[in-house]
Amino acid sequence: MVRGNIIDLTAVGKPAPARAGLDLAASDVTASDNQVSVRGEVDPNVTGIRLSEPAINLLVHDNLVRTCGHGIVARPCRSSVTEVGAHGTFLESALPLEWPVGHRYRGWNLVWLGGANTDKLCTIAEFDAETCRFRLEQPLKISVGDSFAIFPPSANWTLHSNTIADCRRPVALDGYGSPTSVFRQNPVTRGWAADVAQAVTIAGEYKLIGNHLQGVDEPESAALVLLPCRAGKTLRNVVRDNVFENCVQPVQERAKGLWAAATKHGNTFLDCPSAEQTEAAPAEPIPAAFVPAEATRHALLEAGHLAGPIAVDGSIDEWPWTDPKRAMPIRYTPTGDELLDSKGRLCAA
Amino acid sequence: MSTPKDTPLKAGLDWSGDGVELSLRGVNTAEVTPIFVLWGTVDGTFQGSTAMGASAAQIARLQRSARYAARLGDAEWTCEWQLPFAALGMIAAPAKGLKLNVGLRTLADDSWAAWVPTGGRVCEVDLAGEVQLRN
Repeated sequence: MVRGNIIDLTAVGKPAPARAGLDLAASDVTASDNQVSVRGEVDPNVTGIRLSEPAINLLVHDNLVRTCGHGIVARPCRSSVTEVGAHGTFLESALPLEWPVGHRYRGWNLVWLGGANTDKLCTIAEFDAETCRFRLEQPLKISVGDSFAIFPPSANWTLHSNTIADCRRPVALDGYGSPTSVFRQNPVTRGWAADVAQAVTIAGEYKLIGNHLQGVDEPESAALVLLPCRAGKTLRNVVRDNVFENCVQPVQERAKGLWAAATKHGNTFLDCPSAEQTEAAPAEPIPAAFVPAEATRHALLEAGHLAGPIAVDGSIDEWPWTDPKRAMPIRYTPTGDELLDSKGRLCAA
Repeated sequence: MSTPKDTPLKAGLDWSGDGVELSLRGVNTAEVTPIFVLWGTVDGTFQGSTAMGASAAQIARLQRSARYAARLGDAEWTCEWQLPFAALGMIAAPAKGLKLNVGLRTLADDSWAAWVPTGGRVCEVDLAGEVQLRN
């Protein structure tokens, strides 16, 4: 239980590194009635509440998150194979160890992010708590270094009645989610934060029920952004009984068909120019604005020949910085928080 | 890389200053290399590390052949690396490219930033990004 705390993450004096008010990475946690905020201007390096897969049974409610760069963030969990054993078993580098009496990852989903099985979705047979080896239901040819992510068939995440206000990226549900990952009855308002490109982004399987998304009214911004599933699944998200108020674009999809595949009814659109709603002509189903995803699922940098020779002198003018396939920003913390102001760029040739 | 306001950059080897960590490995099946970890700081000096499996001899070979330079500006500092494939233990450019990550250490706010977040150490390149080499 994490309850009733006032967490002030205001930076005092020198610049402060990326930090989070609550970092929920373990299972079976209730976090409620906390206030996480920054005094003064929005701090792009602050995350209010971070939830990390593969935690299960998380209950997050009645928290207030204000003036943070990121409000509530859910993140996926990745690991890689460190040793391949007999019968398709393997050791890995990053997952939480499980007790013999626990779920031992039985029936969990595993999607390969690298190696010969990239994008293949598998089921974990079990985790041996004594040898720390994983075994898949269907053995595969895997190699040391193959990276993967896991997520449970049922995460049991309930996030409700949280107030998220004045944040640059209010809500980013970036994990794989599950049928029991629910975000409901949360007021999400832009407030006086600027450059709020989206209020809520979803990259996995979540249910959005009864939320109030308000004031996402800057040009090109969107209240709800749907991203394609990294595991390649056809997501059937539930978007029901939400109020979209004063939003330039209520819904935006980064792959075609995401909004059409969602289960949606009872949503209300007030003062949304692109979704005029009247008694005679109800706005639902509204069309979702399609904006192609910027990034590929895997970070990929192309390195071609340069137009001329390079002098290794620290001056970078001769590098092709304007080619987006060859130059990319450095804008994450090692643990995965997005830095809203990138700290640098890299380019390869 | 952006330069912190009001706090001068500080050079330092052994990850003690402002600088960049470059980690990479070749991913050809027949030519798996260890993960090479390099640290370059703002005064143009650099070093390699055996922390991710490269032997001392491999690191020494890379340090002899690699070139690194840094330049400080008012609002940003820049650096360049040049790494011969042979110094990375590869006969030629790996057809499948390289696994790579870049970490940026900033002393002013005691922070690390990464090209690709790995969930832990920046040098875990198998969880990071890829570089595809084009002709």
